[in-house]
This record gives sequence, structure tokens and C-alpha cells, in this order.
Amino acid sequence: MAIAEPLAGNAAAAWLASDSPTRPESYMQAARRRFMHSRVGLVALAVLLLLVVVSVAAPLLTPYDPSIGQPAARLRPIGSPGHIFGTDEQGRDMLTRILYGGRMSLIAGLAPVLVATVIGTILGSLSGFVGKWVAMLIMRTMDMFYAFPAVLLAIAISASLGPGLINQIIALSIIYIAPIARVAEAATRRIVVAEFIEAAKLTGAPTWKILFTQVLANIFSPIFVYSSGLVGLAIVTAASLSFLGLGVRPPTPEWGFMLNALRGTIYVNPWVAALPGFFIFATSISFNMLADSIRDSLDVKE
Amino acid sequence: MTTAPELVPVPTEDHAETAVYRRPLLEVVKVSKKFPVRVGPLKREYVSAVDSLSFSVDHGKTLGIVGESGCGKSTAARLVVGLLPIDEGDVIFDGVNVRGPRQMRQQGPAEKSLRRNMQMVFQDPHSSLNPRSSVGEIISFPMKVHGFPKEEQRERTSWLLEQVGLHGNHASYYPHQLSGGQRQRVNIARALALSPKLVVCDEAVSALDKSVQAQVLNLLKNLQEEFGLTYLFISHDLNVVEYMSDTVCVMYLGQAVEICDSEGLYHNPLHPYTRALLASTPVLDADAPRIDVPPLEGELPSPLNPPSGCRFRTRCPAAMDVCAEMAPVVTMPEPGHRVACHLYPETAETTVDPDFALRTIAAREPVEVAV
Amino acid sequence: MMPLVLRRLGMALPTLLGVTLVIWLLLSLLPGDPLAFLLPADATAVDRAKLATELGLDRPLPVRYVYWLFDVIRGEFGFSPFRHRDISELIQNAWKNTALLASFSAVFGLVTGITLGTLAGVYRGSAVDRFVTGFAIVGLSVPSFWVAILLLIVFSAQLRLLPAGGLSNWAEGPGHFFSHLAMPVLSGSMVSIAITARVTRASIAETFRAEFVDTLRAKGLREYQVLMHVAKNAVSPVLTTAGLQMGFLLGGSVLIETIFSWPGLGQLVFNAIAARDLRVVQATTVLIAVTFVLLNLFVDVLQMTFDPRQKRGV
Repeated sequence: MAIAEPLAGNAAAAWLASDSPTRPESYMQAARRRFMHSRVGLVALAVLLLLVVVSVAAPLLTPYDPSIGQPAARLRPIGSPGHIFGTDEQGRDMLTRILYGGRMSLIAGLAPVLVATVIGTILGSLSGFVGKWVAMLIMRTMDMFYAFPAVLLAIAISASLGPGLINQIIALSIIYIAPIARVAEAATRRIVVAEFIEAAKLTGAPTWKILFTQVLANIFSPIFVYSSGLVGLAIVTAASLSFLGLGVRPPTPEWGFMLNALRGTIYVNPWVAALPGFFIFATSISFNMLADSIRDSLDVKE
Repeated sequence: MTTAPELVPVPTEDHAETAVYRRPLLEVVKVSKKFPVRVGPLKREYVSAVDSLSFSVDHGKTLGIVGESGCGKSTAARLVVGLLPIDEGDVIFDGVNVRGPRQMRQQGPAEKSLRRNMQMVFQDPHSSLNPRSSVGEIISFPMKVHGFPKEEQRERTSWLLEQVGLHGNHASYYPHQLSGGQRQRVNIARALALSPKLVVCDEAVSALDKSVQAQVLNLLKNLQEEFGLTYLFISHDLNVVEYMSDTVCVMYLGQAVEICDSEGLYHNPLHPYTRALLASTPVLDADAPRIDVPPLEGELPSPLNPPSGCRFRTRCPAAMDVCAEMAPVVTMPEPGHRVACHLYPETAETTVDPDFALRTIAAREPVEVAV
Repeated sequence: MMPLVLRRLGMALPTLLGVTLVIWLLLSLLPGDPLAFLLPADATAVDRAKLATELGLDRPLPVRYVYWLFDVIRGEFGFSPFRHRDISELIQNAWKNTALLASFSAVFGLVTGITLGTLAGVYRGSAVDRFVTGFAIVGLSVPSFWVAILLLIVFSAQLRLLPAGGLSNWAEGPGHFFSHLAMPVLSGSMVSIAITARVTRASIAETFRAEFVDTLRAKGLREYQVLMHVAKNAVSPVLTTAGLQMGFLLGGSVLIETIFSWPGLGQLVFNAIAARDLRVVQATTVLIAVTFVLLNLFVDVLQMTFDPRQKRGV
């Protein structure tokens, strides 16, 4: 039987006629191509990669120890010889502390979103797919967490678990599970009514197989977009917890805590005191811009 | 590929005693389905979506189900293939009772072989194909589930694509790169992937342009001939159903009101609803018989509480007092032509066995036929 | 209409119960000894058991929760051994101060955000739009506590224009009052402004694309009349986020109040955390969370009243 209808798009027709080995673009390939054309996204990605590299390579980049200061060299302003970013209230080199501090801030911002995405996706897609009492149980529990101001809940959890990086990550993970589960559930519910899910059920495939092969690929985009948008927020929230003394314990440097510690020096050495905050802001805004371009390239409507 | 089953002419009642017939491939016996609807915080009411529906389809034949939207056609399709559990009644496939109220699913190998033998072509060319899978993945998914070797999956996929009029290279396309008609062809190829005996087409061409509709309908017909497929063809479009079907079942508010072979139904509709439907369908053929009845008036009544007695009486031009009092019984005023209407009262000549009221063939002892 | 509001109210009850349960569980089932801080160092096992009975700690968990819940409803939060005060007394004063700051921040944030968002939405693609969109991204990413510190550096440390912290009351004169309020409100409402501007812009822009706008123009309405119609239809999503923003404001208050020495609930929490005074943390979080739930409830009811489309869902 001949192909009776015109093909969708001339490019496709040309490809068919030429029998060329190049394959048509998949959704992900198209998304990658769109991302590679977004200038803002690429710049943000570059900034973040640079940040990761310098904070990981911190020991190679600076001769100072991040936790030992020279009392004689306290509160040097920005641009001092030997201390480009000045020194803090204990005479520690600020550049060194910023670089090392980046490790903790990045981990404390990224890890919770990662954990929450995995757990939230499992809970959300399960309740969206199975429905009934499973959904009732899961989603009503999520609603309970949703009823809190997120930062406050994180503070309450952190406060009860005590300070420390792991506890901070646990607290932040808990507050982000609920919103991600909601996104995952809504996306799954939109998908499960599609006829291709019925077609998959008709083959007799077990539920888990349908979830993995048919549902997950389709809810990935909205969840990924939502989660990537959370990272910027999580960086700030993590820094807030550290600011309150609920993050890593001193003397390990962390931006939020540094900001708090330098709060008393704003009358003496103001701009050094503002530095850690600037880095929190720069990281957060880079993640937000990256998330925006990811959303645009994945073509997900807000 | 499936060997084409031996084709038998649709028997009429008179030679029922003399000939041995093959049992229908699909028999649907008094199947009902209700959906709960929340009307208050704690109160639930039930919508009767399909009510005591019975019909059967012979090997290699097509039964069309036609009716307005909301009449329960699609629910009926989903009950037959097992996407929805049945409340009451039975579905007998190839002589085996496969779905009833207590046995939603067969177990193990029986269910597996049933899955291979019953497939469905869906309505919406947009939502029926997974947008994240390539055409190849979509068509080979059923084969993957049923453990076909990789090599066979690939070969069979491109063979199927050619069977439905696409190019083997289309396997690497994604659904959004295809036109509506092409997607519907992929939909058909997927349904054929496991060499089913029965293919349920739920409004399979309704979303397509008229010109493309014709191509897809012809494709379905050709495939039926080639592979001996049996179709349950559901549509709201009378012309499409007439073109495709050997037998047609007209549904109204969850019930079958008339069943007849295609020819008889379109030339001699008995039920007032069928007449009204036909009268409101535009026909291009100048020689076609005209039916002079007023078109349907009023809205479809709410299935939440359907009218008493005959469900059609609120819109029926011929409604009588009796229509509100009792539901009509199924009679056979003409050979092979069944109807549920008080205009055709039950007499000794027109009576039919109520248990098998609306089936195209009278039930007999199952006759074993080698397949 | 009324039954819907009642249903929404009915749904708030389990939420409130859930919220209190979460906080109670969090702070009651902690590893660690709840009595350690309350007992003198040389306490005997008998003292211990006596205190445990007094506080009801020997009762089974569900019973303890119910007792605690009734205490909370009556406003009895117990005694803070660190501050040597009744917790309810501490909270009462702090709550007033937080409410003052939060309501000023909310109003300021919403008004500024809606103004900016409407401008951007009406003049899509213009320089104003680009500025507002850029500002929204900055506002969403910037840590409020850093803004607070920057403001302190500029207006307190450098220009010496505004007081670095503390609270003033109206009696001391409006100038004095607002000078204390300015920086906390500005830094606290940053996120609020950003979200409101963003949502308002999106909502206005989308409503302008609707077909009814063409109809209005075709009927010969003036552009400002069209804008009134658009605004009416665009308000719903803005209201929805308004409730959410109260969460940011209340949660963020912990940092803002700490930085500006504002004697509200936030500062109370901060000090209680530092002292590991968990009963105060518990009481304060319950209060803030309940306030948040009630505010969201209020916003929802408001929305149902204004937007007939909301009548279907709760």
C-alpha cells in the first residue's frame, strides 16, 4: 500500500525519500538542542560549573587554611595585599573561606532537592497511578506538610534534630517532598487517562512496568523543571538554616553562617561582611536562570 | 500470522436446526456496568452506563455499534477488552467465559493468550501514542511484554509498518512528527502486533478528516480480509458504521435498541430511534431511500435517572402510554432483525429466547471448530 | 456558595490537627531526654519520676498528644525555664510585634508587586517589562537576610539614616515608627514583591490573549476600560499566591527579626533554638503554622466569593 498522506513536515519527507541514516530528533534531543541555543542558560551553567570546580579545587587555589586565622590580620578590607577578599573577624582569609564554604552551600542546596525529587516522584506517581485509598493516604499526608510555611518547618525539624549538615539536608528534604509529590501526582493523573496507558494495560503488562516504561518518561519533564527551580530556593533556605546556626558546625566555613558571624562587623568592615551573601545570591540566581532555560528547552508550561 | 478462520455465512433462524455453525468469536451476554457518582458529601448515585447489553460477533465479521455520544459505546468496548470490570453479565471469547463479575481477569497463561487475542484501536490520535516513545518502541512494546526475541520485534515492527501503509523507516519517528492519519496507522499497527483475533475499534476514525477517514477505513477492511480479523467497530457516525459493518447494533442510553444486518438496518429501520438517527444523517446518494421522520428533538436524558419503561420514550414521536409503564421486550419482527420497542409486540412469530435476546445468532451448544 | 465555604472550613480542621500533630511529634519524640534541662544536676530517680508524672510524660503517646492539644487550645504552653516566664506570655507579646511587621510587609509586597506586574503585563516587551521580569528573578533568588544586611550597611552603617534595629510604637511619632519599620519591611517583602509581580504579569498577559478582549475592543471600549475587565479576570492566580507568600513572610520573619532585633515570634524562635528551649520552639511554630493555615483559609474563602469559577473546586 502506498503512503497515501503527505508527511508531517518537508524535512521529514526529504529524509524518508533519501533513506538517509540520520534519525529524526527525539524529544530529549530537541530539548538539548534548544538548551544549547539559550545564552542565559549556558552562562548560568558555566558560572555554576566554575563555582563547583573552584570550591572542589580550593586547596590547590589558596595557601590559607579556612579555619585558622592570624589574629594580627583581622578585618582586612577587600583588596588587601595577600587577601583579595579581605579577612574575617578572626583574621581568616575570606577568599579561602568563600571557596571552601561553597562546598557546603552547594551540597546543602542540591542534596535535599535530589532526595526530595526521588521520594516525591515515587510517592506522587504511585498515588496518581493507583488512586483510591493509596492516593488519599499519601496526598493527605503531603497536604499536612504543605500547610506549613516551608522555612519554618525546616527550622522546626532542624531544631529538633540538632545542628549539622546531615540534619540540615534531612530537614530540607522533608519540606520539598510534599510540593514535588504534588507536581508528580498532578502530572501522573494527567497521563493515566491517556489512551496509550490503556493500550499498555491491554498488553497485559504489570503495573510497575507501565509505570516505568510509559508514565515516568512523561512526567519527567514537569518534575525536572519544578525540581530544578527549587534548587535556587533550597540554596537560600539552606543558607538561612546555617545563618540560624542549624547547619554545619563552625569552624567549617559555610556562607550562611559566615554571613551571620560577620554581622557584627558591618560598621568596621562592611563590604567583606556582605561577601558571603553575594555568593549565596549569585549561586541561587544562576540556578534559577538555569532552571528557566531548562523549562523553556523542555517546553513545559508553567 | 494467524490463519484466516473459516468464514461462515451469517445464518438466519430458519436453517438453525439443519446446519452446524461455528460458535461466534465474541459473545457478550447481558453485560451491565454502573459508575458511582458523588452527589453529596456522603451520598452516591449510580449512572447506568451499560445496561444488559448482549450481542455477538462471528469470526472474520464486523459488528458495528452506533449511537449518540454518551450512549455507552465506549464503555461497552472497555468492558469487552477488560479495561473496566464488569458488574453483571459475561463475555465469552472463543467459547470460553473470560470476563464476568467475579472473574475480572483470567490468570496466568490464559490471560496472557487472551491479551494477545483481543486488542484495541483507540480514538484520539494525540493521546493514544506515548509522546516520549518512538513509533518503533510503541509498536514493539506489546511484543516486549510478551517476550518476543529482540530480532523478531524489530523485523515484525517494520513489517507491520508496511502492512499499515507506512515506511519501515517510520519506526524512528516520534508521534508529534506524524500526521493524524499516520498516527492512526501506527495505532492500528500496535493493535496488530500480537496477531489478535479480535480488534475493537473505538471511534477509530472519528478524529480524522473525511478524506483521511476513508483511507484508514479501507486499510482496516483490507487488513480484515488479509488476516481474517474480527472487528467490533464503534462509532457515532452512521455512514462509517454502515460502510464497515456486517451487523449493526444501535445503542441508546446504555441499552441496545436494535440489532440487524447492515443492509436491513439501513433500508428498513424499525426502531423510532434508529429512524430518527438515519433521518438526521446526511446522505449523498440521491437514490438512497428517504426516511420521512422528524429529526431528534430534546436532549439526551440524564443517565443518572433514566426515564421509566422505555428509555427513549421522552424523545420518541411514537410514544404510547405503555412505554412509560414497562420496558419493551426484544422481539424479532423480521428474520434476523431484532428490536426492543412496544411498536413491535411479542407474538408467537416474533418471540426470541430472552436469554440470548440480542445476539446475531441463536445460541447452540458450542461446536468445536479447529482453529 | 455558603455550603462551599463551610466545606472549606471543614477541610481546614484536619489540616490544623495534622499540623499540630507534626510539630508535636517532631519535638516530643526526639532522641534525648526532655527532662534533662528541667532537673537539677543532683536529681534522684524519684525526683525524676515525680516530675515525669507531673508533666504527664508517663502517659501513652496518643493521650499525651490530646492533653497537649487541649493545653494549646487553652493557650497554655507551659513554662520556659530559660526565660523564667510563662511561654504564653512570651508568645503573646511577640505575636503582636510579628503581626505588625508581617502585615506591613504583606501589604507593601502585594501593592508593589501588583503595580509592577500590571505595568509589565500591560506593556509587554517594553523596557518596563524587561526591568520587572529581571527584578522578579533577582527578588526570587536573593536571600532576604542578605538584603537586610546590605540595607544595614548602606542606611545604618554608611549613611546613618535609619536605626539598626528595634521596635518603635506609634506613640513616638510616625517618623520614628516608620524609620524602624522601613528596612525590615523592605527586606522581608522582597520575595513577595518578586512572586506577586511575576504572577500578576503572567496572569495579565494571558488574559490579554483571551478572545473576550478582542470582543471588548471590537465593541469600542477604551483601553483603560479593557484593562479593568482584564484585571478582574486576572486576579485569581494573584490571590492564590498571596496566601502562599504569607508562608515566606512568616518563615522569613525568623531571620529578619533576628537581624533587626525585632522582638517578634521569629526572634523568639531563634533565641529558643540557640538555647535548645524546645518547648518555646514548639509553641511558636504551632502558633505560626496555625496562623498560616487560617490565612490561607481566609484567602480561599475570599477567592470563592470573588471568582465564580472557583466554586467547583476546593
